[in-house]
Amino acid sequence: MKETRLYLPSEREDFHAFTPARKVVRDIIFSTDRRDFGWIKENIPCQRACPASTNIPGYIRCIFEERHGRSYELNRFVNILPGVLGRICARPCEPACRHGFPDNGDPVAICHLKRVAADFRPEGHRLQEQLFAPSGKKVAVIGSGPAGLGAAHDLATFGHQVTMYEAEKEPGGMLRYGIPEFRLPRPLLATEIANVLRLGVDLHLGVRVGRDLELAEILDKHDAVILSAGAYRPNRLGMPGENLPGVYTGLEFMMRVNEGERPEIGQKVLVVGAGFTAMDCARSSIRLGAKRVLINLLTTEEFLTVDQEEIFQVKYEGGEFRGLVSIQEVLGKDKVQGARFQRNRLGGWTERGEREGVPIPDSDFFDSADSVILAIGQRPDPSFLHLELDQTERGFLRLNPQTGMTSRNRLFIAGDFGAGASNVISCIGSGRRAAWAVDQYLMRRERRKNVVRFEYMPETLRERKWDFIPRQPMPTLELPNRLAGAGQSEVETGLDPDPAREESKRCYLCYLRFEIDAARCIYCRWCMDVMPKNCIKLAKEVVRNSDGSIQSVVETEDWSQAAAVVIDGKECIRCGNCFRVCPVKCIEIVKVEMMEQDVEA
Amino acid sequence: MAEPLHFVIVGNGPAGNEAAAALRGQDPKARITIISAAATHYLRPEKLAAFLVQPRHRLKDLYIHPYPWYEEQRIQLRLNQTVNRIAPEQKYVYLNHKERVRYDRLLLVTGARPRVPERLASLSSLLTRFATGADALLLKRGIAQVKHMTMLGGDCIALELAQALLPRGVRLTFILDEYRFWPLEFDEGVKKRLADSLEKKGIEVVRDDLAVSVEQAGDELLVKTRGGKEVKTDRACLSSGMVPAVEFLASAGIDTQLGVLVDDHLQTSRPDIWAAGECAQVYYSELKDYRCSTGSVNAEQQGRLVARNMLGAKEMVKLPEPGRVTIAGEHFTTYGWKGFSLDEKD
Repeated sequence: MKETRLYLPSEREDFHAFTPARKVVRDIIFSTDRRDFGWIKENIPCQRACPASTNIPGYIRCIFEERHGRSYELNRFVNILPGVLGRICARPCEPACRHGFPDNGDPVAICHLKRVAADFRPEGHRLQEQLFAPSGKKVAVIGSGPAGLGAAHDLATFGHQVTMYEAEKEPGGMLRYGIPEFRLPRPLLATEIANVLRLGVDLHLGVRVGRDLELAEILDKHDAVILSAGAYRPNRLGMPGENLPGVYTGLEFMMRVNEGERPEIGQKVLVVGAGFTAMDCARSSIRLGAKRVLINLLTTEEFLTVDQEEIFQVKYEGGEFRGLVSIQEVLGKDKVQGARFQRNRLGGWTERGEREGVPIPDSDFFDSADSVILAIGQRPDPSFLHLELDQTERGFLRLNPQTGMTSRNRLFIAGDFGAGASNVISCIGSGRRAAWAVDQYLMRRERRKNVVRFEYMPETLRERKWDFIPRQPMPTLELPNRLAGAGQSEVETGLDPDPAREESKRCYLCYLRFEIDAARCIYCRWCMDVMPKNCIKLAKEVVRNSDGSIQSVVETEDWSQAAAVVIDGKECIRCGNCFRVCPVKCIEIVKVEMMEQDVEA
Repeated sequence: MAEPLHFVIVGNGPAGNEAAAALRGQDPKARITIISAAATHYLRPEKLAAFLVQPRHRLKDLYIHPYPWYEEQRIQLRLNQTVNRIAPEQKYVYLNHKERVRYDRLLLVTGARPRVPERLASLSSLLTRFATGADALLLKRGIAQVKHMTMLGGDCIALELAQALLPRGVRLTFILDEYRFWPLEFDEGVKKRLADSLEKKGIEVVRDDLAVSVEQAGDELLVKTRGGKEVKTDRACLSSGMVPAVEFLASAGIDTQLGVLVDDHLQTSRPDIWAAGECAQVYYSELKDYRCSTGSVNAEQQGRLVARNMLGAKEMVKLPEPGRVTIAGEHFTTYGWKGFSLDEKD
């Protein structure tokens, strides 16, 4: 007989089941409770360390699921330029990664995975923007570096009419003029900048504020102005010989190289400095044909701000490090012939947490050189503003902590121009925060806010064996290919899909909250038998942070004192062993993510 | 009665063994433990080359102290155990197998290992090392088939191997970099004189060049240099100097640069922790520079000195005397490496 009954989809047996093909989302909770933000800070160390608060577990999980477009977007929501950051980010997240804690192995290659999202996103994938209606307000952004781009992006989505002024011939600021092409290919940079500009940002290139246009004029014509002009005044040591031909500042040298020049540097180059600029100068010098390049450090390699991988690359290309020296003067008649140094010993720590190198008396030595590159940082130069503005003791512009405004009404600041040279991700974060402050000022209310999103998960998402996968190395070009041609071929070639997926499995997914429902727990202790770390504890009490979130668990051995069996989120590596073994299924897994939401009027 | 002090010595080379013997000599009650990552115990590094080419030599012949000596001296010898972390506040060393050992005074004598140039790091498994007993055993097995050996750089290891292999008719190639021939003070004059003398000994010298890759080509290896030269060889030996083995100390807040930074008394930046031998880096005002010592003679000397200082003396470490290397009748002054000659006994 012919089947006549019509089956509704909801009558299918597996309708409520979680299968790879379908996902049932039962309850989603949004919260603005400060304890929930506190939980994220306390339990997702990478996201806490990220100046832009990127949802790192979220985008890494998307890579595992091979949803590269979504992964890219999760990044772009908060950090605007994922492909760029996937290459040159300073990676404050990686030292914070729980996988790198003692006995847990190496941190997840968070940055390389960001690049994976950018490399493998489907062609023509959909960009998602939360657009507000046009506001009729005009905002100017001065400088098109990472801070300016971050600010312009958010201002444009808020519906304001954005005009951007850039002094140089191309947009990108330090991304284009500070970072060498072999670390950041220019076509990629152009694409990601275009994604910002296409929101309706009016970019004026070659306009130097203070020379071609006065800031006062811009302030008159706009409802607000964000200054994101970066830090372009090189620090100086004030030592003899600093102005001899053949002495370059790191920034000047990199800007010339990035504009396609080939500065005359000779055979032997002494680089002074310990940051990414010093490394870039050394690696560029090698590409310009220098035979010997020595990077001179006040302290030792251990205290460099750059990561181990970068140090390895410098050495691979033939750069050498000389630790524990201070440059005293540059010597030479008409050009550099060498420099006089003193040996240092390691001293104490500065207020900013940097190790000091202290010169040893009577330890001078001379080293010959054809050129000297001083890559010792740079600071903002507010002289072009032609405005009297309040400054802090350290010489930076003073900001109103409530509004983010300078002492001049309607004038805001973002990025390195505010507090001195930092890194790209901090600048993007700072640019976006400035845009939100401008929006709140112009619209007289908060229009976008962060919320915490909770979603119950029907499974663990992880397998215990994934904890033993080693960190996947980044493939790089071999030396002859690096130096071929103009030497600007990208050195890191990116993870292939298979290693990328392996690497994505390594993430503990700290955004999953494992919790024991005390009402259902039968105290069988099976979970404690299978735990790989000291992560499930008999708790006497908990210590709370000022925001009310749990900071730590006070453990007890004595059952009579135990108030509950709890999973310590800080020890938990989200392996899922406890969840799988629990006979009464009293362990709940909740995915906790921070996201941005509109505030309804 | 007070508990005797526990002296823990990390490393089982000349400095560590001398220090242990000296400590025992001066403090009969002390507890002394030597922890070593190596599976074999202390052997004479300078005898390794002879061991390599003498078929009848056994590793045992290189022992300074036979095993019973350690028992007699009540020195606990823990071989094949790796220290991976030190907690100076709690005075613990943590071993790889999760054990922790408490110390009262700690001595770091981890020595040095052959430097792997970064550009060869990924090819590390194709390269020959010759620094430990284990390396020597491995190399000895196939030594009869080795007709040609290439030295990637020039250092004491390269010279010692040359001394052992040249009389046996093994052909040698040295690839010498522009800036270093460790452990010599290197300048233009020395560079040329040295390359000339090596050539006089029948060694092929590739000047001012670096190995950039090593490939397996059938039974042989193919070494390619930056200058475009290709050398077919049976073995490519790491000989670009030694680097102190100190990476595991950074997390303990013990200051390191090339080696462990120690003061004039060989004390590290942390209380009750000393270092000596090739892993210890000292500032010498005579040189206006830092230096790690070279060779077992210097290491033994520092081992005895550090033992006295660990027991309360305040002796100053002295700059090692320069040594003399002789190659084809030419003399070269070294950074404190012992005397050495590539010629017949002169």
